[in-house]
Amino acid sequence: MLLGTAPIAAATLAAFTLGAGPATDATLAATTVQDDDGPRTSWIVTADEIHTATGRVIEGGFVRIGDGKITAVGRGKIAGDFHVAAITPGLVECSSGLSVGQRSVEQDSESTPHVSVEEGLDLFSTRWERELRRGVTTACVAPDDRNVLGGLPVVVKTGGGEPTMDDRVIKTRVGVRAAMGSEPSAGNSPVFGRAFGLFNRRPTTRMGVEWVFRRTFYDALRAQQDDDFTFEGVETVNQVLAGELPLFIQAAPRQDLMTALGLKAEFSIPNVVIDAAAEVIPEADAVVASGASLIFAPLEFDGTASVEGAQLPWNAPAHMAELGVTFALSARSTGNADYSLAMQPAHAIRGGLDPVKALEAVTIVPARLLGVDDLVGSIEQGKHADLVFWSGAPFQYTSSVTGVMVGGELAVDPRHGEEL
Amino acid sequence: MISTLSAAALLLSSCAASGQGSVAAPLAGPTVTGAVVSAPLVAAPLEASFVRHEVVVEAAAPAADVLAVRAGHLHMADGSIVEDGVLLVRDGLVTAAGADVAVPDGARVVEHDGHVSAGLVAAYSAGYLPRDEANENTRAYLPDGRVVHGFDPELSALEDALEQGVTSLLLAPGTSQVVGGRTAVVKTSGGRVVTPNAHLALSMGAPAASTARTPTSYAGIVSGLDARFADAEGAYAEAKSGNLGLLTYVSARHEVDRALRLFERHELKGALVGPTLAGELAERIRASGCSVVLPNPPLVLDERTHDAMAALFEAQVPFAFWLSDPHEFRASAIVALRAGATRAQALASITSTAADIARVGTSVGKLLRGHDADFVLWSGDPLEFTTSVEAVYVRGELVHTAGHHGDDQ
Amino acid sequence: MLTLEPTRLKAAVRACALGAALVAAPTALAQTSDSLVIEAGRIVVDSQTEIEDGVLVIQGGRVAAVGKRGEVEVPWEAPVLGGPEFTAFPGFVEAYSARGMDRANERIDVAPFLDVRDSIDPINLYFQDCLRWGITTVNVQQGPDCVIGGRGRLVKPVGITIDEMTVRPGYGLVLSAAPKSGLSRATQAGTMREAFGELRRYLEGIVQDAKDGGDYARREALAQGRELEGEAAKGRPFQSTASWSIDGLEMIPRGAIDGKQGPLLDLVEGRVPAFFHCGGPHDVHLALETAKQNGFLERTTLVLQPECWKAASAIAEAGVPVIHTGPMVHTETDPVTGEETETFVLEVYRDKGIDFSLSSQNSSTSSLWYQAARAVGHGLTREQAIDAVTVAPARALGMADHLGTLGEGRLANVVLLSGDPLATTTMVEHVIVEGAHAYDRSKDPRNQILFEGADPLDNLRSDG
Repeated sequence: MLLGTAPIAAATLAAFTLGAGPATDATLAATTVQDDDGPRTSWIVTADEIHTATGRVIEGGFVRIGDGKITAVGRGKIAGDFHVAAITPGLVECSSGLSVGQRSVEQDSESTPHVSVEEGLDLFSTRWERELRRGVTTACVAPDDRNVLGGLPVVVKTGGGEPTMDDRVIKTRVGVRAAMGSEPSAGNSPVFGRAFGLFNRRPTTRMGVEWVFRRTFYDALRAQQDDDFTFEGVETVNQVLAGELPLFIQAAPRQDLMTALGLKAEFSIPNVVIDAAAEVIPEADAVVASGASLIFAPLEFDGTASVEGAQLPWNAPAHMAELGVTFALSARSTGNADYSLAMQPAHAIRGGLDPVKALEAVTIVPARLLGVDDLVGSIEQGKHADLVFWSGAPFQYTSSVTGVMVGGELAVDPRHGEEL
Repeated sequence: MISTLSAAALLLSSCAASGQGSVAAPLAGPTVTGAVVSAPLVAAPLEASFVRHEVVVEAAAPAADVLAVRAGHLHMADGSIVEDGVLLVRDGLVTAAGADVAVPDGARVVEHDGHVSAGLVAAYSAGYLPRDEANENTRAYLPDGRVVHGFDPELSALEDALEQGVTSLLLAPGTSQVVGGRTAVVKTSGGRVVTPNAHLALSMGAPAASTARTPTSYAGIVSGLDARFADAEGAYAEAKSGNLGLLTYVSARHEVDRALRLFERHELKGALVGPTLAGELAERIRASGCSVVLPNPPLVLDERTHDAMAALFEAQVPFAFWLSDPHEFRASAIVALRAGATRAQALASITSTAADIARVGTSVGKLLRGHDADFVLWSGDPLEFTTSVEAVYVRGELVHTAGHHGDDQ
Repeated sequence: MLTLEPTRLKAAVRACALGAALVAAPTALAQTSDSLVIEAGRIVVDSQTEIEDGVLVIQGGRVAAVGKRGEVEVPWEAPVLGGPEFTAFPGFVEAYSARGMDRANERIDVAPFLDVRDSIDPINLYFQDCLRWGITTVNVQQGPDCVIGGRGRLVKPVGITIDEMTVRPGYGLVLSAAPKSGLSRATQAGTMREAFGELRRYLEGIVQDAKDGGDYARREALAQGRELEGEAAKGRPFQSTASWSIDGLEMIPRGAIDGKQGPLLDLVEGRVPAFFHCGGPHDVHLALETAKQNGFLERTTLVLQPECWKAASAIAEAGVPVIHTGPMVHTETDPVTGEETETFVLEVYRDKGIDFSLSSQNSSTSSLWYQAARAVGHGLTREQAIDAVTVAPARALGMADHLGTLGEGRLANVVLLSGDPLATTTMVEHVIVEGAHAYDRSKDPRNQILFEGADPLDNLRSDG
């Protein structure tokens, strides 16, 4: 039960098998002991299929892990600590929503592009364990979409080590978060005619949302020209304009998507990622022309996205793949097991997406969009030992996640299905 | 002597009843000494307006007037218990306490078979200010707000606390301000202010991130505090230098984590008030030098809270309990004992350690020479549920007897 | 390939009345002959039996023959449907559903006199979805928010009148051990007992009246306009395994029994299957006890929420079949630590030897084939999963001889799939219900919207 790629010839495999000797290197089996206290972080795992997300599938191979990093991946029959049917890289969730909620976004202004969500994390929450159990080893947390420009997301590991900022946060200043749509305007009321309070301000409509966005970017452009003019966050906005920081814009329904792409064009923002993408097919040409990347809203059985009730047909990822658009799948850390990130590729495959692209859309592509592809997102030497173990071919309805490893720690043990 | 004491007692109760006006404080030696001892070393001098609340025990008696308490069990400052100990009190202060203490001739002697300990100290309290005094909702940063201005010695809650053996408690601003102002320590009887300036009170808990005003997020709280401590002036500078204590309300573990990281950035330390599961971060709290004031635990602990408390004790983090319902206050120390604290740690959490955390450890909370003679006569071991208060003395004066108030024994 | 041409639907009709048009089409194209032949690259007769390159002959709405091509005699005049690229599979059986009605629940606590025939809506999108997912038989019952509900009905998801849809009328009565919203557990149990108590008192009353020479029952019936003719005029003695009984019931003509008490009497006498809802393990005990005491345990099927796995031993001992509803993995949160533990419920039932069916009535609106695939993912064998959506529900509905497999004599409910029944990329391409071609995916407009990104508002745009 392959994902569709043919196994590669032994000769090229030898070149690909990084760091390991001949296929039956018995010495590999020996050294999995570690010195320090704490959970074990060195292993050898064998599998019938290893989907590395580098474009190759290894049949009958092994992954060697040392001190939480991948030290070797290759083909061959060796004695390992345990054997599983299939291995994929740990899943990378681009749009998790696992912040502390409304206290993750500073609402003293609708435009706070400079505020990092680092202080809006609760690393002790049990939701991280649930994500980890379902195969997600890396997640991006953004400020809640109550502001038009909410601030700077961070990338967090869902497990491994202690729940401290040092152990878990692997990247800050991932980009800038923006939202079109109704969420930023909800809760505001008109400036005139009522008692004054914090939320008597724009925007109260989508029009207002766009206005706030454009005002911020116009101000940044103005600040570039006028030395006497500045505002809090101007450096961050300028970095977005220069393409140094990606801009993640939530835009699910068609009109929000068009607004977002329009703003991208208006300010020539080089690096834009549309989050909660849903109604992209009707505007496929515009999406392609803009060069934006996408993070899809979770695919659901009734064909609508949970964001703004937008339409999300199952073939949307496949259609975008045909057009060469870069996209990731996401699950927004939903509580519903049928729509989790481990299930999204199966739904996309059902909608016609190529299985290899489906795997990449939850591993290396999100890692690249978040700028952490040097650390996670594929099974390659030197990267974090984040692995998901499957009961059969991955991303099939008849397969399940039986084990999860993060940073070399076995969070869910496929041997007994229990958490260590 | 009895008549003088009754007169003093009458004076005391009449002042308490009127709640107004100051009693002319003869600035004779002992009284002044008393005043100096009870104020911590602060840069800002005691303001004259506080004299209003200072009811000084009339030291009209001659200097040889000594109260001697013979206790069946005397709880010492170091945590030990002395059988048949003696406590000597003069002019409102402890002059001696221990095993081999001679009772001077002419001393008034009180015999007590049961236990005698220092008066209980609460390192944090809620509900001991008039209702609206603890919440300044208009501004998130009010470093010079002084909660002592809201202190009302007539509040009946103070009497309730006194009847349960609490002689000193800390008054703090509410938890909805990021910087609420300066805490104060007061006596529960007589309206005396031990110090009007104990700590700078911060809140980094959920109530401080309000949608009524900015900041609305944790990030906002942190950036506001970072800015103020970075180029520290006024109260912030005092807190950094250690002249003023620091008291921070936090509840969830991630709030504790956030506070510890803030402290690290600015080399701060202080008391963390409110985190029930602080023990799960015990090592880090220990390393930071912070102490913890815990909410009153339930009498029957669930496994998790139990383990967290035990971890805190093992890591030797100084801890105390907060006072809301006075009946639960001493019970908290008993629960701590049952969760693995030593007897010394448990009793100290409501006496000496609490006083240290409240920054008044040099004047209350211990039966030690030079400290205020605040002590309680217990019917038995104070760390037993069956024990009750028999009498309470504040500054050497009997202010409460079980069954009646203010009578002479 | 498809040789049977469905009537071409106009674009406007398609846009405006998707449901009605789709459901109307099959009956409009009643076959010209009574026979139909289905060819498939693989025929899954049941979970144990598969035939490569097979042929299925349908006559009179039933499977007349099934076997390998060349080994089965095929009527030369019959139309042929299918082809080597299809896999034929028995139509899925929905063992319990409260959908397809205008409202699933009534406000009345005890309402056995109600019947779903009055609330089923033939053009409800639910029935269209059933065809889309390959469900060919649905047991429509009142929802669980009651104490004792009304009578249900077995239907097929084709037809524009309820009569056309009906497979078996007046089938099943719903009871709930899980408290109706607003009621406490004690009140629920009390109301349940009281309902049976009232039945007893009523029967004793009319029997006593008859013994005293009165004619109350008959007069009431006539006053209510009920005819007492034929079978209805005859009396029958009380016959039940209940812990109580009524002497002299034969004195009362059956037709004279009150409309509210009649269905309950049928239940107690084992004439009608009971579908008993349970929200948790305590409910299971109440349900089993009630059923046993009132004589209908033999005909009870439990409809279970996930937490009921904890009562698996009691269920196994009582020997009743169950219908599992809700997620198949039960997650429990430790109230102290917040840690979550997961239990694969179906494995517990399987290991205890409980006969269980899956149902698609859950929050994600996902269907039976999906449930079966996920069950395999979590640890059931392929055979067990397929059984749970075909023969097990057929058994629970007393239709084991008619539904659930493609064996000879069964009703010709066949699904033609584009691949393996449990594979991720397999689609339902055609559905045949009792020998009539009821669904063709290539003509399904909603499929185009769901799967191919067609714009739902396409037909309303000006250039059409």
